[in-house]
Amino acid sequence: MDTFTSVLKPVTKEASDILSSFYIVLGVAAFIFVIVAGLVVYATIRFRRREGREPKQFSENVWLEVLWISIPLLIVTGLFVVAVRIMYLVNPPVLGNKPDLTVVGHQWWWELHYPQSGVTAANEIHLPVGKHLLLRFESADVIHGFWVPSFGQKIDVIPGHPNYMWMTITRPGLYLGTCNSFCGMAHADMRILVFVQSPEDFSAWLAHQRQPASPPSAVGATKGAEVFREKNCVNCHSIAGFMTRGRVAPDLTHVGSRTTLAAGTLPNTPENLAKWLKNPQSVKKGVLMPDVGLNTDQIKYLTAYLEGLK
Amino acid sequence: MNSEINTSKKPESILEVREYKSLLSWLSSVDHKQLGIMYIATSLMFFLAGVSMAMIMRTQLIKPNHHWLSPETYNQIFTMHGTTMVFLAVMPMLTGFMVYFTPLMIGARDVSFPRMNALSYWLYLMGGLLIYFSFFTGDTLHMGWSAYAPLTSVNYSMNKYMIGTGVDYWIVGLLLTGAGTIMTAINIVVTVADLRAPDMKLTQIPLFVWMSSINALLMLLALPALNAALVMLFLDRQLNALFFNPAAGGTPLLWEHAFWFFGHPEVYILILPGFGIVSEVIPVFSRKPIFGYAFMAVATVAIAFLSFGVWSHHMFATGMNFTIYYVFALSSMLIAVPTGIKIFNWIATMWGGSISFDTAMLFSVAFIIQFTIGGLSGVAFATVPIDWTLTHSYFVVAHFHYTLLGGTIFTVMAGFYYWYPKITGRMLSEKLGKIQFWLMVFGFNGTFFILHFAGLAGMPRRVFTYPDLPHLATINLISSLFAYVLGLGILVFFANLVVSLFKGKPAEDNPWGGWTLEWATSSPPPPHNFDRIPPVRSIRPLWDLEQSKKQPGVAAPPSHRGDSA
Repeated sequence: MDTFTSVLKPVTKEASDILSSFYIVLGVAAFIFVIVAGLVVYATIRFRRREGREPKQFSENVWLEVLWISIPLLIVTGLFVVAVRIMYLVNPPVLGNKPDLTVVGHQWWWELHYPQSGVTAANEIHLPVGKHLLLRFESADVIHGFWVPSFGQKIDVIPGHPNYMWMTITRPGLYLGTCNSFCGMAHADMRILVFVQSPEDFSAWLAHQRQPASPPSAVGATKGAEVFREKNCVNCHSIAGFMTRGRVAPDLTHVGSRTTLAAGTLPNTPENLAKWLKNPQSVKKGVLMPDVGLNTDQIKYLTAYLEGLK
Repeated sequence: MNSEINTSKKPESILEVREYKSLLSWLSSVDHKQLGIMYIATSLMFFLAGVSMAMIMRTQLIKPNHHWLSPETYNQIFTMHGTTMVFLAVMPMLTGFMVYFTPLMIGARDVSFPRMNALSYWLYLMGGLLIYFSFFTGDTLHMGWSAYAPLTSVNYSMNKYMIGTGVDYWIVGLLLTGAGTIMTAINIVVTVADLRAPDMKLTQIPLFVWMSSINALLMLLALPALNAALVMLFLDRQLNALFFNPAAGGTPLLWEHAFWFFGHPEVYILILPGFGIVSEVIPVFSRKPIFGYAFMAVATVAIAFLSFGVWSHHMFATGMNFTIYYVFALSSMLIAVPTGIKIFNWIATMWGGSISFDTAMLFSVAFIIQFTIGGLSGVAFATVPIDWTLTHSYFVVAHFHYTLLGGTIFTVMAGFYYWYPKITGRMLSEKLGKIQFWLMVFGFNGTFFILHFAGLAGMPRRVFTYPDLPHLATINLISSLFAYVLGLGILVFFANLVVSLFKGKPAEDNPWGGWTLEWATSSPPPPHNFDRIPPVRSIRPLWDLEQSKKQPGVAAPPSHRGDSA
């Protein structure tokens, strides 16, 4: 699967529109820069001091002033028209449309709701290719920022002020993004993964995510489920089909099927999960998950249980 | 000169001025020159702190997944770097130049309210120290210099054991410096209105003074908005007032509006005196009067006026109404027009001149080009959809460092090389100056031009480290290495300041052949500024004097006694 990270490689219709306006502005800016820098460089060479010549003392020319007032005025008027046009293309009014996905920013992870199918997930977004999607953004605490560079537009995720963003993704692939509005200690480790799939694959993924967690089968995993309950993990985390009390930390119903842990901080392997459970702060400084004092056996069982939640 | 009265030898350097020799004369000073020097010296100390923090940041970012600093430390450092540079280094440095040179350039004995001037300085110093005191509370700031709510609320500024007090020190410190700045603003406006040399018309004020007065008006109108927001935040934190708490009907967007209503005029507060310095330096070193004086003055007024109507362009990604976006996009783009007027007038001033490339002029020329780059990326951000894509990314970091470092700091350097002889009576070393200039030009552009591409490659700002994504490692490595070159250039500057004070070539009264009134008195100026003030017939009184001397038939117009104001 191709991975995308750059503004200059747009993969949504909207991002391509925005990039086209960027290239227009870049062209205009380069043109103006060449003129200004050219004049300055020419003047510094041509009018270097030579002995015994006092320059002519001229200091006014109204027509020149009119020239360099009116031309920039025309240029910015043109750029303004470009801006308005692209704004409407990219972000038509939301009106009564229902969002396909609601993203809730938390310190320092992303909660995901697919309202039309009732699926809840975390950090790893799955979206279908080719559909005009509407995303809604909310925050549970401070201001975050949702930015997947290949999608062009970013949006602030503000508590008490839901925001919306339209997107039509044109290519399947894995898109990396990040929180881009400083949100506290672990801001740098609040990353986003977006898996863009064909509509069929996406429906299959949704159907799978809708299932409750499979009960633990292996011996270690059963003990792990006990640890999960006894060590108060349940107060923050939910596992559909097991215990769904926790609301403040990522839903773990299908945590084993995710590719990363701790909002994209490290790859999801049993070793990494064990390291994370042993001392969350050493993996992601600032994270709100407490160190609940698990011993080596408990970590082993819990790892087995959670990795089994495919 | 009346040699019977003035029997003592004229002091050659500021270290020899009798009135300035005791420590008490500085601590209790109400002399605008001493206060100006104190402003500049203090701001240089804070500048050094800010530069050191920048070096630490670039070292942390030199490679991906670097865990030299903890995120906690890094977050505090970038917050303090921004706060220091904006409030404690650059603004007071410009204020120092304003306080020192405004009275001298208009032929006045001092500012209108000398004691208030002293109060402003001490408020600034105490406020600055209070902000730095937060380092000792064990919980400094980690919120960025713009301090977006609700990250600053009590709930989110806790350390492990207790509620952090760093934000409170920050608030009170900024309130103090803010009050000081407002008083300075009043002082400058009144001084220029009231204490000009008897025959100096408004159309004959040097452009540095024009721009400083407009700047003072901006301070006067913008700082109260910040102070009001700070008081609201303080009430939120101490009395649970809930202005910015969304759970209780407040809104974090209110902070953003209040902060940027101050914050965008602030951006121009940080550049207008710099424009003024360049508008003095370029004519003198080109041996021509400033081109389009009236247009320059009016463009400054236009920038000041528009600067109050552009603040929401910092908030294009907050999901506001499109109508609001149109207004602010248009006003933000319009502000490029008066800025363009200035750029082209500076070039026209150089055109046909006889340009001497002393260090002050070198910095001014580099400033024109670098500021143009910063201005053009600014126009990109005024184009709303581009802002949607690039705001909060390293593209923004590159953009505003082009305006503040490549812009303001370069103008300030020009100011130092131009006026240091006047202030101290010693020339800064031109040799060290040229070394510094080239180190800074290469260092600055090498550090920041490439950071535009970091933003395009998807790097957000304010992260203590970044994953090893394509291009990011290379870009950051190059940027960090050039940052050390830039740092070296700044060290050379500090060395030059200190060495030249003791060993510098003694300065003549008018070493550059300047034409404004500050060059009509001795270097350093006597405590009372002027023995005689030359007549003012144009923006270049000393040029007029020179010309009248060349025509022996014409008698020079009478000068005034120095204390006539």
